[in-house]
Amino acid sequence: MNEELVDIPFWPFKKKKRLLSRERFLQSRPVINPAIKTEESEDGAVVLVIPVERSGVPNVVSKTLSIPEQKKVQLDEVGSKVWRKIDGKASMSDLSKWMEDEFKISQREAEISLNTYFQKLTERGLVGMIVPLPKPGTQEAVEEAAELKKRSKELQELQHKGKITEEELKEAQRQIDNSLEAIGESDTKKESA
Amino acid sequence: MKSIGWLEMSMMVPDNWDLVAESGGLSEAFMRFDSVDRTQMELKWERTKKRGDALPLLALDGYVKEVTKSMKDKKSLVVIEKGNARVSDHKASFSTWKVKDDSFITTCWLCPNEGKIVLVQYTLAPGETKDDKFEEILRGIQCHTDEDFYPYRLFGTKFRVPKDYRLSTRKILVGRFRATFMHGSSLLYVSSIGLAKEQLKKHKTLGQLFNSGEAKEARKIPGISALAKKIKDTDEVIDLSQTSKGTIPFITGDKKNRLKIYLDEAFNKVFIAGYSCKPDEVGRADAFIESLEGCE
Repeated sequence: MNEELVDIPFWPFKKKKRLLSRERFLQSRPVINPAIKTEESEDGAVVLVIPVERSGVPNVVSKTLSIPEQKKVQLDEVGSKVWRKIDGKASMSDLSKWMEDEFKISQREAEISLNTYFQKLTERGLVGMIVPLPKPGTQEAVEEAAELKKRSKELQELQHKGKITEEELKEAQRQIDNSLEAIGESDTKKESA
Repeated sequence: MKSIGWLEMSMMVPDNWDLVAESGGLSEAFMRFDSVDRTQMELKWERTKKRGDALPLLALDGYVKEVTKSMKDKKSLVVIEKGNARVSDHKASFSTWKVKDDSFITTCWLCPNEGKIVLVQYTLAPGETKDDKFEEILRGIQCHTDEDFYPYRLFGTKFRVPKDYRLSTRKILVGRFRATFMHGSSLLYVSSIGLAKEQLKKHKTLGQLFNSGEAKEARKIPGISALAKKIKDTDEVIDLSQTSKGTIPFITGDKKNRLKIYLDEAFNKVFIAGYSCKPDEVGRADAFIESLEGCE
């Protein structure tokens, strides 16, 4: 339950790269951004159809210049095969084992390839990662707690601006508190300790 | 356990170990093996003309002193045991020592067969004993061979290199590597390209794959570059050879050149092997090319 909260919306690799242990990386599950549609090219490769944000471009200009509302990115042979395996259930460990068999590569090669590939996909917001919570007492837990507390403040600001309701804030805060407790970084727990 | 052969050494290591760093090849070499969570073993050798039973012990003591010197707290390194053992048919000196919670076995021996002094350091995990690791890994390290070729076996690829050829250049990437070996003005080239079937879907044929960026280093090698121009757009095994005239009359002699490119479907790899060598080296260079194959 807690794990869902940490990573949706998508893993913010772009802002700051947080170190992820190999164990957590392998337990992570990639999920495709629902805004991304896919097509198939003539040679069977996956083509990602990515909606283009129009912020700052007046409608008149966009209509006159016929700026496309979406861009297409064609994945290569390997990228397409991996993309088709993303179903929200398969973990990185599952994908790594599948890659070893499919492409006859070593475990290390598979993990490095997946790490590089998914960093690129997450940087572009095409894929999100559902990452399990870190173990209490680790550096990762401290970093995660800082991130969750920052998130909590952001949510309070959103509620203050009227972008989310008080009920939504309470529910999100409850989940954050649960996560902080699960990773041993809750303030109340620390005080009692 | 899996078999590894690299930089004139061969050994059996646990399946979850990987070679993560390596250097040298001419007068010295270094290799480091990691498992997923820690450094497991480091190996270094240097060519030496020195001989003598005391040499490994002196080198080992010197090494432990160097490690102690490099530490802030000089007293944190504690030597637990010192002694002798047999490794690769040689008398080796060993030392087990610890720094705080980390324990190590360092062993050193002289290989008079090939004039090398070898130092290996194994990091003991909690619960592991020196005796177990000597039996399992250290005793099986081979620093010399009686054959005329060194076995190379890494990255799902194996081949044999004539003993007097030294690893000169290499580039190791995820799923592929290439290396050159030199002996005088003779050169051997090997390249292994992973995800071969997927690469061939992109480049269509072996010829096009070779002429793409995948093999641009091979195309820069004199002798092989001349053969590269003759490559036809084919899916079949490419095996070309020719003789090139010396560039400086009466000084540089003729060279025999060969280039072979083929797909190993079972291991999903494209292998490229070639040589540019003196005519009297052809037999050994051909044996090098023919020994190239995929492996687990």
